[in-house]
Amino acid sequence: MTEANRHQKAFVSYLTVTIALTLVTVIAFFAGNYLDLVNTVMLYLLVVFIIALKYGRIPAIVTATLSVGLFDFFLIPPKFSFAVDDIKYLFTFAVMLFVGFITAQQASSIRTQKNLAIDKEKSTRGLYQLAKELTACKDIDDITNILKKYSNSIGFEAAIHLIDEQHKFPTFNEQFVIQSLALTVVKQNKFLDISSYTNAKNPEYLFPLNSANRLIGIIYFIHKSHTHFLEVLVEELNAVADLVSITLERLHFEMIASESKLQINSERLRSSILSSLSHDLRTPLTALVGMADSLTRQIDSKEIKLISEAEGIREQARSMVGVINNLLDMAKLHSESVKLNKEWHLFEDVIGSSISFLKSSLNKHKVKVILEPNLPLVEFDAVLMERVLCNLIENAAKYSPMNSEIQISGYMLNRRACIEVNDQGKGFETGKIDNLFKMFIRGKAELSVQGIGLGLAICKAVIDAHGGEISASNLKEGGASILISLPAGNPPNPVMDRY
Amino acid sequence: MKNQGTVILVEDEPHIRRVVKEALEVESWKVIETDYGQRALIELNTRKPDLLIIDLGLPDIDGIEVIKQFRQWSMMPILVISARHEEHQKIMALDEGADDYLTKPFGIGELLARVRAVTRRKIGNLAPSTKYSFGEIEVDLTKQTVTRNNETLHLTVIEYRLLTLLIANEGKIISQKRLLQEVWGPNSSDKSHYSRIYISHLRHKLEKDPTQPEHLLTEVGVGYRFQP
Repeated sequence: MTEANRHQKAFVSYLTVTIALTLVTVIAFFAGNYLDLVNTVMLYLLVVFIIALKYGRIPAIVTATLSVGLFDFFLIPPKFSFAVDDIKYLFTFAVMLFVGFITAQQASSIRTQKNLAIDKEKSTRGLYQLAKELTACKDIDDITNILKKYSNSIGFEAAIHLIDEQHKFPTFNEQFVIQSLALTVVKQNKFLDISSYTNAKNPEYLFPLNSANRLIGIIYFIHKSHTHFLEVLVEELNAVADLVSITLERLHFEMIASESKLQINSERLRSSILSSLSHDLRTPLTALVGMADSLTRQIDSKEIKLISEAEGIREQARSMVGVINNLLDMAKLHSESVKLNKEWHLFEDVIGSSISFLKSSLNKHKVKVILEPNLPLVEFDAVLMERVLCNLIENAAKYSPMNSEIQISGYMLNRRACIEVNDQGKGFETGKIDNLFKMFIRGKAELSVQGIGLGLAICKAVIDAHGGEISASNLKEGGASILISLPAGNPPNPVMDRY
Repeated sequence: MKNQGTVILVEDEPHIRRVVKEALEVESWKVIETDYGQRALIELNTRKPDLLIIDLGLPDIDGIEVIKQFRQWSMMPILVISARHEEHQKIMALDEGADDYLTKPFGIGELLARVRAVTRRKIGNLAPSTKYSFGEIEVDLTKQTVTRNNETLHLTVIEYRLLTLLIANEGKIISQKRLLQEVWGPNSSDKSHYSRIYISHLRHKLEKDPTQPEHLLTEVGVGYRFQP
């Protein structure tokens, strides 16, 4: 409201007061015989009441005071004098004044509340509209535009400043004072009047934008004119800041959701590529193994050389399958979506099946299994664990001399279930032990031994997924040793049975 | 060698199909080959084969679907060809009624051994004898005793039940689920560790080296196989 406006309004109100009182006085003066003095008092009070409702407290008080004066001067005998004949009229004046004042007070407070309610309703409607517009926002620019439009309507300039991952405001890089003030606001989650810090003429405020679990940024409000801050507005600006934080949070989660959808799609693509690749690679090799096998059966048994060549083809094709299996295993394990099918197993089972799976490549070695008696059940994915053991035992066979012994032992140590695979070869090269479990690293650069250095990396990936540990070392008496340990867990109770 | 009967071979890779066909023909099987699942269903219906050998990855419909439909009208043995990395598919195929599987790549010896195992009962090679022996072990099915070199071995009730179930399915895979159901009853499928413990007990009593068993074999992720 401007100064001129206010003056005009005051003029109108006092003009109304004057006219109303004059009218009442004239009516009472000439119709005094018909109206009783008591009713005249009522008329004056009615005017006070209407003025209070319409123009507020001060005009009402003025009206009440003037009413008493006019009533005394024109209507109470002796007329045209402030003197009073009958002392009882003094009491009437007092009551009249008193009732007038109370009426003024009450009516004007009703009026203030009505105005407040109207204001509040207006701001609520505005906020509701803001919330509605914000729900349609697709990015931060939309939010900024809507916020600016709204702030304008309540007399503010507004800007959103977001905090980055280092908990800094990149937009305030040059302004150290505001930078630190904004950080304080965000961290304390409370608005701040910063006019005194920035020496600005118009009021400036920082409101925090925070969600339940992360810091988002601030809104910087600058009032467009040089006025004092109204307490009522704090609530409104807080509500605006809340709405904006909710919208930003929604955008944030929408982004996460769409990212994870993308990731799921790429996972799906990846696994379908993997499975078709594995089918396409394995099928010709299966045919090759079968055909070579069928060749060895058809060749005359006297043709030893031919038979051994055909067998050679078969074995090479088989070992190729092994390499492909390792590659695909690694790709699967790296796809971050490995689901372990953990159940309670005995080491005995998985060691036995690994050895029997490798039977043909172990015929030149002695395999000795030493298991501590009464080993408990251990929780693991048996299929993956079989791959681990196959890789380890196959390595041991590859890198140790013919007819030497491969020793596999199982035992409990410090509440961990351990499997050790030892061979009698030359052991690992001392400098390389640390890198053994990385992809494409081979213990020795011997080209005569087949392999691409994936075996141990797969073992590590599987054991890691189980929360276990795998380590390599050289035995004192020579030979390589790999130790796997898995957490013992709480195996289910053994079952009892009768004879 | 007498005619073994008719086998329907469903495999989309022609080289594998040829190798399998030739190997079976040497063993006196009449082989009908096809590369499509739908075609296989028609052949199965009209030819009334004695054996079905089927690859799970077919160009038109899933091999498991063929098994499912075939099992609705026929109890003939089914042998599945599958890759090593597909344990869940093997289990699914066994649950749908397949009798056994071959893991790619397989040798001809392996193929013929599996074929013999799944068709044995059908052809009647396994006469209902009262005594059964493997290695040094002899099982007397009437007296319900087990001996090693004439020395009596003490088996618990469940161990004996397990052993006879395995013997009855000589050479064939028994899935974990089926083994639990037949030995421990229908509500035992969540007690898979039972079977592991009891197989281990049996191995300790019957095998020379329980850590490298020759007869009671574990097929990791799928089930067990008894090899005489």
